[in-house]
Amino acid sequence: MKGKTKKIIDILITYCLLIVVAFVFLFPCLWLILASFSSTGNLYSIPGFFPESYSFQSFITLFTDTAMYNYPKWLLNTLIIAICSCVFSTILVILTAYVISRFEFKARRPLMKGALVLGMFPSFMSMTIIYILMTQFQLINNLFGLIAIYSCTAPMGYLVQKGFFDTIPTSIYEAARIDGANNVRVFRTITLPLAKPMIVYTALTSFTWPWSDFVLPKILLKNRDNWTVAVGLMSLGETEFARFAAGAVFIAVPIVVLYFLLVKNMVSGLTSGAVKG
Amino acid sequence: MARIRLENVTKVYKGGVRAVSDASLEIHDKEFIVFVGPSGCGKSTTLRMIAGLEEITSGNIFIGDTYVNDLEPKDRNIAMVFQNYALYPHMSVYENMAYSLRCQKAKKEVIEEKVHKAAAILGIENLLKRTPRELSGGQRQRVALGRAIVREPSAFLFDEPLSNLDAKLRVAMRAEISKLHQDIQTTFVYVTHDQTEAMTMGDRIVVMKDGLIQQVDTPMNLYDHPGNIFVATFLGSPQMNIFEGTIVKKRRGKALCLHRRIGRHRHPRGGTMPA
Repeated sequence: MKGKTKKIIDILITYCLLIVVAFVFLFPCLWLILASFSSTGNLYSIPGFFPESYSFQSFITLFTDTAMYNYPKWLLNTLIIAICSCVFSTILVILTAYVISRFEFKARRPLMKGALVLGMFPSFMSMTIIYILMTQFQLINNLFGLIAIYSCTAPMGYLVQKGFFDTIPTSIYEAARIDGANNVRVFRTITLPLAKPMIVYTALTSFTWPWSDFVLPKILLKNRDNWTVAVGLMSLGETEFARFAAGAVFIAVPIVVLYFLLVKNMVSGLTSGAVKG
Repeated sequence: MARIRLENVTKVYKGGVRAVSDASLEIHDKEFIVFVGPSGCGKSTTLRMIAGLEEITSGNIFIGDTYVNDLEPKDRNIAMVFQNYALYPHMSVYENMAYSLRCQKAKKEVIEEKVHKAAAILGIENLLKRTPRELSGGQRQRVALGRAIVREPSAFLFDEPLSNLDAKLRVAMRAEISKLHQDIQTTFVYVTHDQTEAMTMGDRIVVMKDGLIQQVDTPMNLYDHPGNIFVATFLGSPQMNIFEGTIVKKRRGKALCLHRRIGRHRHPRGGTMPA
């Protein structure tokens, strides 16, 4: 009897904690979504948690009233940056991780240590330098400048992918080499199909970072027409709060869609059956 | 169809570990040779050097008449079966077996013919559409064998291929590999730590210890005339008993031993050998 009550109390405590944590995480989201449907729009006219009246007006103005705040253009910019960086960084990260995981070369350890040490510095430290570099390359106000930065810094975070490649048994590669495949073929026909879940994960993370990044575009993009959504939304006034909320909610849509499209590819256990576990 | 020649082959790993020392050996054409020894004796390293997966520190290896030290594994015309099968998990059994032929850019009809022929030999024709994860351990190892057969290599290398199977299956597969050797008449190099496998399968056995080849001979000769105490105690079940003694008299080539502590079993180190 005593054990049973203890068990119930255990469960109660666990669920209470989970609910509290879930509330802390979900509350801002929920508030933002509700605010985006508010018809008044002013931050100060929302009396409490719930707006007084609801409408789709903010979403409509977001796309129709583009004279001052060109949301569709920002969205397009963000999409271009995010998609290009996603493609380039995924390729670079996967290649880096594969090479570091599979090949022995002199610079391997120094490279890994270097990446680790450099990764310890906060990224803000490099902002000024990046700005100066970009002015010299004349890539200020240019979407491709941002794409280059996102793609080229991405391989620094190769560790997760390397960890994944480390788990693919070496004997599979050896078997392929004996079967007559060269390095490129091994990578193309063995590694890539096996790394599918990892590629999807990498693509997702390298899409979401530029998609929602604020600091870099704020520094590098001066022209209103070149702004990304994050920078653009920041420029909205206090009276436009519902519009801000609508814009913020709307950029979450592609990420959610992407996630649900790709999540089935992220199943693990693809390597089961290759070697004795 | 090739003989394999090892000349003073030595492997020293980066950390200074000497895995194989000065191994010289001639493996005849169509021979079934077994490398046997305790773990860490260098038998697998030797095999991997023949395969080209491990670089050779010094010495020469010839397959047929070709000097292969600097050849890539794929150019050595050998096939290898791994202990953990090493099948390609994302491919069907058919694709697994066809992979090497696709690498050689063989024609589709040729691939199909060879794969089906190999599958027929091993009795896995009904499994061709499955993926490795849908196979049992024995079936997987059979596919790995099939993958090797399809290539029609000049030598087969086996790296403890049966160690992951259960005892009963191991016996069955043992017979199957022996039969395969008789059927396809190719050089087989087989690494195992199981002395029963070695004694029952090999034409000749190479006994290794601490990176050194101890003795190379036929199973019966190794059993009846072991070259040293290690070979004597390593082979045979139950293990040979060793007693220390002194030779007091030699007559007609046979030694007479006088036992010092009679009845006391001694560990096989040092001591005198029956000549």
